[in-house]
Amino acid sequence: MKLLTVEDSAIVRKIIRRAGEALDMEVLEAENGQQGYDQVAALDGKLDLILLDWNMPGMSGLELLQRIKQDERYKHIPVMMVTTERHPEQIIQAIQAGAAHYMMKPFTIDELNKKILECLGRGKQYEFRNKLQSD
Amino acid sequence: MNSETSYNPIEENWTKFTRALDNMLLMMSGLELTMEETSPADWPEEDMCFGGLMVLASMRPSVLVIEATHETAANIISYMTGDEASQLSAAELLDGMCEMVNMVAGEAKSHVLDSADGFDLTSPIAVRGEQLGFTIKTGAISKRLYAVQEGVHLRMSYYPL
Repeated sequence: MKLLTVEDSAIVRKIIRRAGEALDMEVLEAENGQQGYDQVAALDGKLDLILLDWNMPGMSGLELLQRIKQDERYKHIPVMMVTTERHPEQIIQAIQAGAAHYMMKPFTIDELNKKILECLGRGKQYEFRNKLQSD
Repeated sequence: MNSETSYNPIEENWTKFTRALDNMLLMMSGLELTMEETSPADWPEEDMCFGGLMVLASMRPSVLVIEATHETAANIISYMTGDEASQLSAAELLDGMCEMVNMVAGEAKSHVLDSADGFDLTSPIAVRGEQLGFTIKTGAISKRLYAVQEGVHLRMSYYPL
């Protein structure tokens, strides 16, 4: 499975890479919206999940989300916003634009893993695995 | 007591920043710090060589600054990423300082949304050097926090402009 993180912070990209790889995902990186769009196009939309920061130089995460969701070729890809922006209006704006999930920074690795799996429709599997480990 | 006159927005915001710093460190790196508010005169001599700062835009703008020694910046980002502290580059430490101040300001912002104390985030700025010191000559109160844990020496300052 392929995950694309579009994020201008190299440190946050690294954290997301670690989380994705721990879930056996191939993690691709882009450091701004335009690079992210170019990667989506280069892969012809063959991605399982995109994690998007909001504030980035050039094309913002919201603009990229809107471009992806307005494109018949790419709109099937689930997108999760991962951002410090947390105004309810912004969350609504992202959800209305087609975001599947909205995660605020800071976050724990556990939260990140859980939300990635929820976006992939594997959230219950994650809860079950955690329960087994804690029992 | 008149609650209108006892309300101090600087103190209120400062509390939100300190809680946000505490929460950010705990969530992103698992670090629980002992924090002390001290006057700058009482700060121990330490080489704060990485700084992250952000101008908080509002009708009453302010500046939030987080400073760290090289060891502290490396340790925190090492805990965040899982990388060996010694393997982290200066560019990664600068990036991490930006992200820390961004997350602290972002969380604090969420507690003052749509209020008179609300502010907008701006692009975080990171600086690197030796014996960093920030002075903002507004005559306004600056609040500083000193956090200590083994290998982690961090300072946060808040300057209403």
